[in-house]
Amino acid sequence: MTERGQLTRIGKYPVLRKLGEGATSEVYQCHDPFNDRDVAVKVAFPETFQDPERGRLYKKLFLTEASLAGKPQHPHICQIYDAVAEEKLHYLVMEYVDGGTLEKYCRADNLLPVERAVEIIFKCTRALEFAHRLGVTHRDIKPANLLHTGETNVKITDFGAALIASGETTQISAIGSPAYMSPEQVKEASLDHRTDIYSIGVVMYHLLTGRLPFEAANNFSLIYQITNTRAEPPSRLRPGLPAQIDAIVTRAMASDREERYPRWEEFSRELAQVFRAERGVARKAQEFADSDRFETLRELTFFRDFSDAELWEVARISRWRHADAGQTLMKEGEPGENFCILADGEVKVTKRGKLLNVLQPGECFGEMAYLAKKDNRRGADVTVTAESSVISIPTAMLAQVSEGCRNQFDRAFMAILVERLSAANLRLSGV
Amino acid sequence: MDHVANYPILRKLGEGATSEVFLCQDPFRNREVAVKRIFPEALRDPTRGRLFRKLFFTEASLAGKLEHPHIAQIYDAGIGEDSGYIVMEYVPGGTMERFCAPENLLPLEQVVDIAFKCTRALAYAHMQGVTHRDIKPGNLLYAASPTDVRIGDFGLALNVGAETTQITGVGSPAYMSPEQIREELVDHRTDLYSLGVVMYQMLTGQLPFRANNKFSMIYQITQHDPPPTSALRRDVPTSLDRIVRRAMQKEAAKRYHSGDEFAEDLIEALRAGLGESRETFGDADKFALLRSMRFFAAFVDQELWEVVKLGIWERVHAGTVVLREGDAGDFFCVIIEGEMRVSKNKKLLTELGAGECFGEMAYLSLSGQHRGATVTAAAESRILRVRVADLEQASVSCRSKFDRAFIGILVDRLNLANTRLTSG
Repeated sequence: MTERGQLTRIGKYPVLRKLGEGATSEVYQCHDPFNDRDVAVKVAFPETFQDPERGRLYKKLFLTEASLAGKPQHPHICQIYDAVAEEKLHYLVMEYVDGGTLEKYCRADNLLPVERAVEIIFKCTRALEFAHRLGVTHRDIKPANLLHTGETNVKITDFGAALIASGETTQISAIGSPAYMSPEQVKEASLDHRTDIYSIGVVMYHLLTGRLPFEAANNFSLIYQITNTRAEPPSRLRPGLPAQIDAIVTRAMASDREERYPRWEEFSRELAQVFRAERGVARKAQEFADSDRFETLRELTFFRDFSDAELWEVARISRWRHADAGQTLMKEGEPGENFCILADGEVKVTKRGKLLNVLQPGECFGEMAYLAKKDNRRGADVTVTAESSVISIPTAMLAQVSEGCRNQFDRAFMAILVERLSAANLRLSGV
Repeated sequence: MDHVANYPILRKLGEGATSEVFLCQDPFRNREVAVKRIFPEALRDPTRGRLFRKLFFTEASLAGKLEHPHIAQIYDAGIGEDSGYIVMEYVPGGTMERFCAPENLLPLEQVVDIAFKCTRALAYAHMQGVTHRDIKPGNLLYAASPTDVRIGDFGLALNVGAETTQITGVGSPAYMSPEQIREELVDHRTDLYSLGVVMYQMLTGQLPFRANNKFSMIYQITQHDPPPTSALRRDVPTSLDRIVRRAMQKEAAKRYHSGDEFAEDLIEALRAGLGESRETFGDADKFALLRSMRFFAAFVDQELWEVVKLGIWERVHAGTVVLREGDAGDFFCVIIEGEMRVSKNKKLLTELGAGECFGEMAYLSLSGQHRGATVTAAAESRILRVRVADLEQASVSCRSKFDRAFIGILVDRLNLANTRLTSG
């Protein structure tokens, strides 16, 4: 069964086809009959662990990746379902992603629109921050490890070079691909999350320009450039790139890691802001990008307790629109099939012309139709008083999110209801 | 052998004709699991082996979807040319076989409690389209105490392929329904019959039909009526006699139609009194009380069993102060029966009855509030006290149901307040 090239089954998983091969392992698309889904199974070459020099290290790397099995999930990290370490057969069972890697968008004749490339990088930075919080540094970020699942969606895979932060520093050489390696990695110094920040910077450079920041005829020369020279700003290769993007790439790729973003958080915030300013000017013509949605949600008090994964769910099911002053958003008596959260601007709630309330960003409206199960008709009118951005959640879509996400909505509504009830009681007792 | 599949073996738990079961460590989820290894011979059998392999995953994944507090969960399964295994929840206590011996019978109330949990669990499985087909004391496991029951080997009736569905095989037909004996098509009611037999044995310490050989047993199952349980154990009330008799009707159509209907009769019998003192609430009793309350209407069985476990059940005498104005609050209560008086500054605000809750602001206002009023029992009452800290340990789905229930209450109160505001 372990003989190469003719695998028909790996453990209990029948092999459908081979997906690829690396230095220490090969990957197959298999079927998981118990859960009835396709999975990607990465099998380590048996000789890998027997290597006298690196055998123990590879074993450690394998176990580190395996230990991610059953860990919290993130929408932009490829999930590990199972790991098996038998005497002769070591393999990992992972989420199967159909759609290829980002490598295809690194070619100069097939580049993505700038905004989409930035979106993708934004999602990567959030996902790597999530991994970082679990104590994991990836250490082998490159386009081949970023699976593309459509539009601007990605899943980071292959934490096979990852090490979980611990007291000891293990030296790894020749595991990363030199082109995306940070200077400290090239120098075999100890690594932290900032090596991933650097590598993401290189990926971003590549996606934007179709070129690697450093290109050389041989590895030696490449390594020299990485450690001693500065890359040309990407706008030199792709005219018209906003200056902020040049600044972001340059900062992520700073040779001295003290000069890079100290934390993922800042990196993603700057990415989200690149197009926000522009959208502010020509907002009506603009779609809301995923990063914009995500960042906006994160700043609203209503979503204060939502986790990253839950916010991505909200971003996915919500509808976003701009509305001008005077526009009516809801009418009394109409059936209510959604509720809204005001992202920006101001709206007023009126009943038969009488003003009931004026709402500010972060406040919700139309939720009573959702909360009171019997009668879903609107109890009042809602009109825009100042140009607004409105997030609308179709209640039918809530069936599509996780239980945890639905519960977060309920908790948020509960807090609002408690507040309104105490206000009402106060008014009652005051009369 | 130190592994089954990739699960390191801790020790052997038992062995059957076609399989053995090991206690193993799940290396990546850090929990103990029971892993059943199917003997290669069973898979090599030229006729049954193939059929078995074909049905294995259908059965295993169907059963794997059952998630219920009283069903031993199946986590994973695998099969190859000459090896097969099933990974299950480890249930450490033992099986009900122990409580079938005449000298070791359980109190009536516990037997009913166990049967009640099994009927509800069977009703749940039947709703998902899964019939067990091999209900017997050896497949009813328990964890910490006998009433902490789990139905094991669900959907894997097939794994015995050789044992039970073939009368000429090794197993005993003692728990099989007449239609199963006749090798007719069976439906969920075969499980209800078998559970009736298990109840019979756990009540009396004897099987309903006893025979010296299998053929005589088969004859009796299809032709005879067993003596009533009360003839063998004098303290069994007629209500239980009736229940066992109905469950064990030879004609499936005359039995209970569903596990739920079976459960209803059990709880009724329990409430009517089993001749023993009932100072404490049994699980079945608690469950049935909650099931009938509007507050818990949206909770599914699994969530309700969680509430049974996490809540603190109390009897309070008239005049007892349950919570006091100004005290810090870290729990809320649901009134099971009786009446409560809510007062503030000695002024009566309202009276609450069964199914209503109080003290919930401690949970709702996340900042943790001081009590705004005093609640006193107006009559002898029973209450369910839920500590906020305990609720935080519950499953997301259980917590969600509480939240939804409270949202409903808040919406009602807000509407009421708004009506009073606009009319005043």
